[in-house]
Amino acid sequence: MKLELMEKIQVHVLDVSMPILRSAVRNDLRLIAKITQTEHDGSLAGRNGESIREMLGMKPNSWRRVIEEGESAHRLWADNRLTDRGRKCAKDGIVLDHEDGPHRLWVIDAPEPIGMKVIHIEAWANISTDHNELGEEHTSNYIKRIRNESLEHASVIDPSNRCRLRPPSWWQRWMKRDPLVQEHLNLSTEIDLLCEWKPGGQFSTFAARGNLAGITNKPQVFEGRLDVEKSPPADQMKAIVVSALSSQLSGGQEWDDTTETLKTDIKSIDQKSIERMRIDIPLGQISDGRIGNWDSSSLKDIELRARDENSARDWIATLFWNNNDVIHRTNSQTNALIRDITSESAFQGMTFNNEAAMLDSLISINIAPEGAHWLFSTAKDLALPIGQEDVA
Amino acid sequence: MTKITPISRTSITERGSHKVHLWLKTNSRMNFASNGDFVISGEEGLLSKISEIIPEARKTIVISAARIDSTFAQELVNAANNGVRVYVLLSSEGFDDWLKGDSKEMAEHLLCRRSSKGVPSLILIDGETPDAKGILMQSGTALDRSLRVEGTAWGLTLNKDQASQLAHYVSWLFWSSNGPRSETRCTNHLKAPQDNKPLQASLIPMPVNTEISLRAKNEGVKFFEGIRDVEEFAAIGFSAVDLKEIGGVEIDRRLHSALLTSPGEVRSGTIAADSNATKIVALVASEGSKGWLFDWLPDAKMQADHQTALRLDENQSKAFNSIISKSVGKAEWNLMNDVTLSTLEVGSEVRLQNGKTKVQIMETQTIDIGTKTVTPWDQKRLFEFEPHVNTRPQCEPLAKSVKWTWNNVPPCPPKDAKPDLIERQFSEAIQKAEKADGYIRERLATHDKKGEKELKKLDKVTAKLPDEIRLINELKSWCFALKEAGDHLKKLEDGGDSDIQRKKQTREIDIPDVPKENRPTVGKLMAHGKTRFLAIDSWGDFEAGVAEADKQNAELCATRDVLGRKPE
Repeated sequence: MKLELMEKIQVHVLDVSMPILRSAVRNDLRLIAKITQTEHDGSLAGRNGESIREMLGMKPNSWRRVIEEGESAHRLWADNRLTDRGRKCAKDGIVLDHEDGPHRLWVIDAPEPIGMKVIHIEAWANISTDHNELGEEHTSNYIKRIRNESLEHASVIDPSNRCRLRPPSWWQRWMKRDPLVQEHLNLSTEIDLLCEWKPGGQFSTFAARGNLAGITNKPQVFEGRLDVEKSPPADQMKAIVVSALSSQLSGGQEWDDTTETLKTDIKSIDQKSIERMRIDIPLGQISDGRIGNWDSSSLKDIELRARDENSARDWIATLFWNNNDVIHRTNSQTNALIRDITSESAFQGMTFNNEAAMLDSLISINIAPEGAHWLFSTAKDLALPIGQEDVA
Repeated sequence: MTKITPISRTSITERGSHKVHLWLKTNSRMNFASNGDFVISGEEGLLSKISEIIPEARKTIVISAARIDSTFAQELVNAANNGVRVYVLLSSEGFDDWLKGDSKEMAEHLLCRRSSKGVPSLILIDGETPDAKGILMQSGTALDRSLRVEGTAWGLTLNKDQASQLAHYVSWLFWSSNGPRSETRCTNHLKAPQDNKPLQASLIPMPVNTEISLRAKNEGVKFFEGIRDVEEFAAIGFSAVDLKEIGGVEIDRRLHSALLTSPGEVRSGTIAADSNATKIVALVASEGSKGWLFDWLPDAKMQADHQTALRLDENQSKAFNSIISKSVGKAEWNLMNDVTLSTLEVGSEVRLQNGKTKVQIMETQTIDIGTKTVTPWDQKRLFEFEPHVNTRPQCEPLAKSVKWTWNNVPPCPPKDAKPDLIERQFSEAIQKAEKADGYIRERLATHDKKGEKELKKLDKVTAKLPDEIRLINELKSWCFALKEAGDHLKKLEDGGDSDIQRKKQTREIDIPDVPKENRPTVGKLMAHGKTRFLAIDSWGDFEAGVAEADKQNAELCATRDVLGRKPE
């Protein structure tokens, strides 16, 4: 089972010209990180650093400058020890590096816990669109807020395309004021924000899907994960599920908190759920201070269990007739088919010893074919020529 | 002279005391009557028997039949309401009728299936339990209102073993039947019959046993256990050929009585035939200890070979024995052995012992045996001769008397026999002499008195000639006279001055050479190859002919003209 929340949100397409930290491949840093990790157990101190410098043929000044940049700008190492970021850089060489010039940002202003997010960024030089109109002046201070938060954002299209709006101090001193931001309202699209939580999960996962305009001439379809700094706690999510479910269950249904399954009779569920033994329950709009407001929500793949033995027999009979031809069967063939069905998840923990009651259900269930009782009695009555039964 | 003529003769053979073997058609027609376990159709017969047996069911009723209607609807519905499951297996046509029929209430209470094979007509009560019972009916019998009609069908009450074996067979038939739209399990299925899909289990055909066999001919002695110990049999419903061998025994040599389906040749027993006998095919020991019932499956090929057989118990055998012995005397045909011909009535329909050859009973049959050549012959033998019995054609086998007619004729030369050499020489000489005689006479007549004188001389010689010249002297004198007359004529005509005139007057006269031997004194000598015949034409020449034939080393016979003469 999982809780799925969904909300529609507008994407703002903003153009801004300023230095932006963007993911870029730095082979010199990757090489240093890689050698440090593999040959010096993550240490750059003393002779380790010297050995690497000599290996790379770098002069002491250059080496010092690179080591300082790696430490202060990219935090690849601290106190001459490789950090997690450093280990990651050893693999892909990606660091956030300042990139000057005009950029286009696709920004959403989502409710908490997602908040304001740059969901995609492209340098103008990489945009291949015929649309070259200037946008309207953006007045909502989105860029300022993003700068103030100074968080790292990953693209929903390509998670390795990351950015962070923290212009260098020299630029801030020099510019004195905020850069001009233009917004392309005609490139704004509506996308889905998704939140998913599975029972037992510590965190919820957030994602977005839809399409983005303004990258190429055609809208680009995407579905990608959104990094959220502070995911709502599991307890909160569980409480939301239980309270939402309580308003949705019918008389023949009962939520079992221990097994986290829904006990039900087959009258309360549809044919698809009878076959799947799982059900999706739409919960509608959710407004909860703990996770914000969501346009729609649903509980998906709720595992179903037969409520009691009678319900189970009806359920088994329904599955029997849904999945098997209307033909004459011997007792053992019928029992084998029923055994197969009772091993399904909906009937866990139940025992079915009463064959007569099971047969009654097969015959009396409303979807049973006409004259169904003959299908089980004939092979018994005309049994003399029936030899070793084949496994049905 | 008495001409030789054919002699017409007749003779009568009386055959009234002859004894014959034949099939005689009677005016009666056999009808079956209920007897013990054997029950015939009718309100008080099979119909009530079935009505009685249905309520005895505790678990199942299995019916297989060519057709079913609502005749037993009430009984079957009552049984179903008491928890008895009713199964009906019908022939293909019968199932189609079932769908169209008015058996809605029945359809709700029973399972009905179309069989893709021929089904026996039977009803089994609790067939797969130790209390199995049932009724096996005549092949092709429908379980419908026709059972009300007396004598249209029969049924045999089955014992437990038989019912159990048949239950196995019918169950096998049931599961072997597959096909679309072939089963009804409720009333609605009459409009939408369900498909028969194969049961997902292997099926065992009926195991070899002594109660029932579907391959009786092949299983032979194995199935017909004890048949060799039977001294005399009673049989019904077989053809004579069928009885040549059953179960490795020559039945037709050990018959006490038999009721065949049609007349045929059987080598023992009291035999009758009736087309009604086709309804039952059974062979029982004449003392009634054992027996076998055949052809209860409507399969023409299996019936032709009597492949389906059911072993009868003692009661059933006795019932069939009784039926056969009662029916033999009332059959359409009776095989009569050693019947005196005189006792048979003219006009009766009869067949010979083989049962196939149709013959007529005749008071008198007239047979013309044609012309008979009598050798050796003379006038007395020609009057008295009778052809030997063995040489006469066969008469109708059932003719009480035979009138034979024929003509006695003397032997004659063969058709292509030719006159002998002496006859040809004489004939040629006489021909030439006649030609010369005619010419001379014609010319002499033109010379007035001189000619007349010569003519008189010639007449004097020819007047002495017999009608038929047989002696060379007679021919010689004629030839001499002709030569003289010819010479004289030449003188008269060629005596002139002119050579030219002479040539014009007299033609060269051809006087024949005279043969060196005389002809026979009587008759005409003929030859055919190296055989010579002396053909005479009248009884007057007979005595002389005998002597002359001997002399000429020829066979005395009559001329062929005799054959064309009207017989006396």
